Amino acid sequence: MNDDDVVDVEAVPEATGDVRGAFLIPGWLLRVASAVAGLLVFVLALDLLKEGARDYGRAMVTLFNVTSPVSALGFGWLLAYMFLSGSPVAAIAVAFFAAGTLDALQTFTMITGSRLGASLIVLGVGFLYYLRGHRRAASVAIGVQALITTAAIYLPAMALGVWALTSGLVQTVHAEAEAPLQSVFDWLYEPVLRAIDVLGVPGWAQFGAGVVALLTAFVLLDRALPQVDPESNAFSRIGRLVYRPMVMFALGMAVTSATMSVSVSLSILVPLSVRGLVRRENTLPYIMGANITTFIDTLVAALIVGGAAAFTIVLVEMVSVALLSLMVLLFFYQAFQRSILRLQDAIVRNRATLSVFLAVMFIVPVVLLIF
Amino acid sequence: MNLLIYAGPGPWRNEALATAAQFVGQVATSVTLVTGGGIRHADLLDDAVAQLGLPPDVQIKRRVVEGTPQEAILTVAGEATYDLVIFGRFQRPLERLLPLRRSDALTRRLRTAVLRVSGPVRPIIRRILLASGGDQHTFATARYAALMATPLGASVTLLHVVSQQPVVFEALAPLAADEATFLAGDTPEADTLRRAAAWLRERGITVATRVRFGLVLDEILAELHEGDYDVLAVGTHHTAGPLDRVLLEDLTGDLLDRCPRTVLVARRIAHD
Repeated sequence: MNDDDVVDVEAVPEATGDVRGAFLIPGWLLRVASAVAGLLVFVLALDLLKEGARDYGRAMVTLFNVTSPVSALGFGWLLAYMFLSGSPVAAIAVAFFAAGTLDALQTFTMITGSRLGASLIVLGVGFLYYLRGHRRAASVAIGVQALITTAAIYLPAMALGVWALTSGLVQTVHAEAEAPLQSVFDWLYEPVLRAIDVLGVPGWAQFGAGVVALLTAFVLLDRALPQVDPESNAFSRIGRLVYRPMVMFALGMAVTSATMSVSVSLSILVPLSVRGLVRRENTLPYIMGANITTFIDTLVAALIVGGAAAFTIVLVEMVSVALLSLMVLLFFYQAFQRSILRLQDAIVRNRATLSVFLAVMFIVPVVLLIF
Repeated sequence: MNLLIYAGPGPWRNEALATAAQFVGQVATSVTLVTGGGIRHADLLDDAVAQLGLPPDVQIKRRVVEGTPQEAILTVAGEATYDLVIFGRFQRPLERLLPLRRSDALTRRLRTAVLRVSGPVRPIIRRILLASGGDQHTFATARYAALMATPLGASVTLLHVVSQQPVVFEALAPLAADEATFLAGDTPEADTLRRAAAWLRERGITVATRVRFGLVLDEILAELHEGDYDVLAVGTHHTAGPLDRVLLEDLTGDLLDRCPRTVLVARRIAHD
């Protein structure tokens, strides 16, 4: 689920009725089973990450010299490149917070970094998939648009969120590594975690197992996602007509609430458009809306692994992004739209400009790590 | 043609009358002049008759109505069927900055085509820019543009703005990268432009076709400015139902808000 990294949007044909009939398992049951299994693995993954982060996380943070909110931003950003996804990184950030490896502000900026990194993944991995023959991966133009829109909203939103967290407007508590787990699933996983302790599994192995479990959980939850009806009449002219920005914003939020991935949400625009083309006026507010509800899984992860404090951090991030997005939509939308699309045109003008842009996107998070 | 012209007080009254005077005498069979504000403005109607210089065979009616100019126009427009309503922009420059003062409110409520005059008077209307969405509504707009262009000897430029972009690498329809390729292509929009151009040429009007790439509003306004056009002709905001009114952006309304020049808003003719 959840990533702007799931860029290969080629529709996987569902099992036909005949096949289902042969196994006598209805499709909805498979979805429910996937959802339950995905959720259980997701929670286990978060617990493993948290346990692993107690030792290995601290070593990792020391290795990457994550000592400030700025370096945490770069760390989250780079980690998203490594995972080809933003959501696992955001989940790792809350696990680090729960383990006491990162403080509230560093967690906040690391989550922001994960979103920035994930935006580039839409572009980069989309292109890789395209080269590998998956022609329906997110196009370069839409990938660049997703990236610069995310940066344009998230960076000022980050300033707003940092202010909210540091001014005392929003209270968070610093979680200690020894603090008890907040998860309601503890009774289920405690025997597993105790067994790992008894066996003396090192922190890095627990962390690695947590990452693998997290990615597995996303795959399982992906299979449980509801299907969005591509024949919806209300948006069937998305390629021809210009919809109100607020309508597209709400649509982006709604679709991403279900798919939990910006790139999957973008791919849903394709069947809505007869010719596979969508008006620029429609995609920009759609991406802005998608960028808010893509946090839902991080919110859940924060609640499970980090309790109220971690939940508050993610909520502040989500509210900051939502506030900034609404301010732009209500007061500066025309200028914002024009600026973003001009920048997009300048970047995708030729290979040289695109290459320079991609190089900058790789260098910036590395530079941030220095601070 | 049966025309309704607002001749009462207003910020762009003289410009509206001067613009109408260029072609009304050649196309009108009947002209109704209206003013709001009651009897104290009745003399403005006589002044308008003098400014318009209508030929004697054109029937002239005068209507004085209490209330605002907008109320006066709506009242009189509701009493008969008009082919075109002409008035000057009522919004003053500073009022445009207020987000809730939309200048298309009157145009939206009228059931007829509208010529909303704004900007300095052009001594002769020579160039009309027709903004086409590339659909069948283009022909209704072309018909109204022809009504103005024919008596004035004005040229019409058909403009289509391509703002689409492929969401995925493998778009079902490849996107033309330049104007010539787009116009020569087999997209429905290119076909509409070709047919609308042919229709206008058949009526002896000089036609040009332009395609621009970018945001619709920005590109229309940029072309209007760069080409120094006198009038912008657009179709009305097409909504199939109440849901469309909520979902779809009103580009015609946005253009009426932002366009500094005279705008012709065409209505779809029932028998088209």
